[in-house]
Amino acid sequence: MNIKDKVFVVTGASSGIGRALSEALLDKGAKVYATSRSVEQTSFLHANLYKKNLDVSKLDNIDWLIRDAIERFGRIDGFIANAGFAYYEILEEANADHIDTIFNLNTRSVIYSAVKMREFHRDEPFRFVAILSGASFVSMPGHALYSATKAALRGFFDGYRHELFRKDQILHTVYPVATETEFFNVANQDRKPWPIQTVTTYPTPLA
Amino acid sequence: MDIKDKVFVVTGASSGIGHALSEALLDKGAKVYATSRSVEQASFVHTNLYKKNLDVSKLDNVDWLIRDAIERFGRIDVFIANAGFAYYEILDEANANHIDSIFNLNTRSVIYSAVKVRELYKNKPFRFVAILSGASFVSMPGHALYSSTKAALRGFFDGYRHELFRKDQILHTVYPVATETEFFNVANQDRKPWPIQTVTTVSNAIIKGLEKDKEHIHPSKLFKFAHTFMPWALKIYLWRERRIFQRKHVNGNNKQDKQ
Repeated sequence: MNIKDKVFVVTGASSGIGRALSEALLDKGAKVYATSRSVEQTSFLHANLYKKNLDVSKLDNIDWLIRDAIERFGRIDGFIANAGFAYYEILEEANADHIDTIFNLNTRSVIYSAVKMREFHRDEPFRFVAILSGASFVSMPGHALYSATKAALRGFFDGYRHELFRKDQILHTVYPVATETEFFNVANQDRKPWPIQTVTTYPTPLA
Repeated sequence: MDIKDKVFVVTGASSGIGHALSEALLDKGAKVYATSRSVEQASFVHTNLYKKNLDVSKLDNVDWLIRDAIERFGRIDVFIANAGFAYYEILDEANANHIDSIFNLNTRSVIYSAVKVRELYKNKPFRFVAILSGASFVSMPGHALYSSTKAALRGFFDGYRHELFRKDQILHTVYPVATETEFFNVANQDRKPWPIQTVTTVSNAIIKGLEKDKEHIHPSKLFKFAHTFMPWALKIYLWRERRIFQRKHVNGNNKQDKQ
C-alpha cells in the first residue's frame, strides 16, 4: 500500500515504537490519529497529527476511538494496535490483578479492536497492525504473563486471517525483539536483554 | 511418578477427556477430586472419587476448590486443568462477551490455578497438568478465539517453567488434536475435523506422560511429526479446513441474504 494520505490510528503513541512509528508515518505523508493515556501532554506536533488521551484497555473507549477517528478523518485505513506493557516478575502468589491488567490491554483490547475494525469495514479494504513480540514465539524468563498475552495474539491473528476473504483486508503482525524504549522501565527490569533494537529499526510491513 | 495413592484434582470432569482421565486415574489407584459445573449429576461413582459442582471460571471457586481438596484429602499431588470450550464462528461483530467467556475459563482460570498451586506448594513437590490443544501451535479456521486462548497457555507455561527451580515441581502441557467429545457440539461445529482421536488415546497419553515425567505430552504422534517435520502438510490441511469454513460462513450468509 502507499502510505501517503492514508489515515492511521496508532495506540500507545506517546513513546517508544508507537511514537517513532507515528513520526515515520507523518514523514511519509500519512494522517495520524495518535492515542495513549498521556499523548496530549507530549511535545509532538504536526499538521496531520491529532492527539487524544484515551485508555484503550477499556473497550468503550475503543468504540469511541474508532467512531471519532472516522468522523474526524472520514475513514481509517490502518489501525495500529501498539499499546502494551510487561511485568518482569516471579509469579509466586496468585494475583488476579496482574493477570487481568496485562491481558486486558495486551490481548483483549487488541482482539476487540481488530474485530471492531472489521465490523466497520465489512466490504471495504482495511489494515490492522498488531505489535506482538518475539516473546510470542519464545517465552522469556520472568515474562510468563507477557509471553502469554503475546502468544495469545499470535494464535488469534493466525486464526483470524482464515476468516477474512478479501485480499485488501490485511492483518499484519509485528514481532520486535527487545527494543530501546520505556518497556523495561515499566516492567521494572533493570538489566536489558541483549541484543537490543532501536525504535527506528522496526520492521515495515506497510512499505 | 507413581500414580497409586496420589491425590488428583480434575476440572471439566463430567465428560470428555476429564471424565476418561478421572476413570483411568482411579483404575491406577489414585484419589480423584472431580469437578465441573455438573459433575455431581454424572453417574460416575468410585470409593476414591469425590465429586463437586463448581464453575472454575470464577477465581473465588478456584481458591475454594484448592482449599477444600487439601482439607478433604490432606494434599493435592496433581492439579489437572482440563475445563475448556470453543466457539466455532466467524467474528464479524466485536463481542466482548465471547472474548471474556472463553478467556476466563480457558486461560485466566488455568493461569490462576497454576500460580495458586505453586503458592501453596512453595517448598514442596507438585504437578500441574494443563490440557492445551494442537491449536496452540496451529490456529484453526473458525477457532480464532479458541486458538488464542490455547496459544496463551502455551506461552504462559513455556515461560513459567523458567520460574520453577525444583525438579519435583513439574508443569505438564498436553496437546490433543480433535478428540471425540462434546467439544464440537458445544462449539456448534457440525462437521468434525479429520483425523479424530478417542478420549482413551488422550488419557492414556497423559498417564504415560505423568509416569515418565514428560513436560510436553503429545497424544497424537502424527500431529507432532507433521508439525515438526512437515509444516507443508499442515498448510494443505489448513487450506482445506479454510475452504470448508468459508463455504459454510460466506456462501451460507449470501444465500440467506438472497432469500
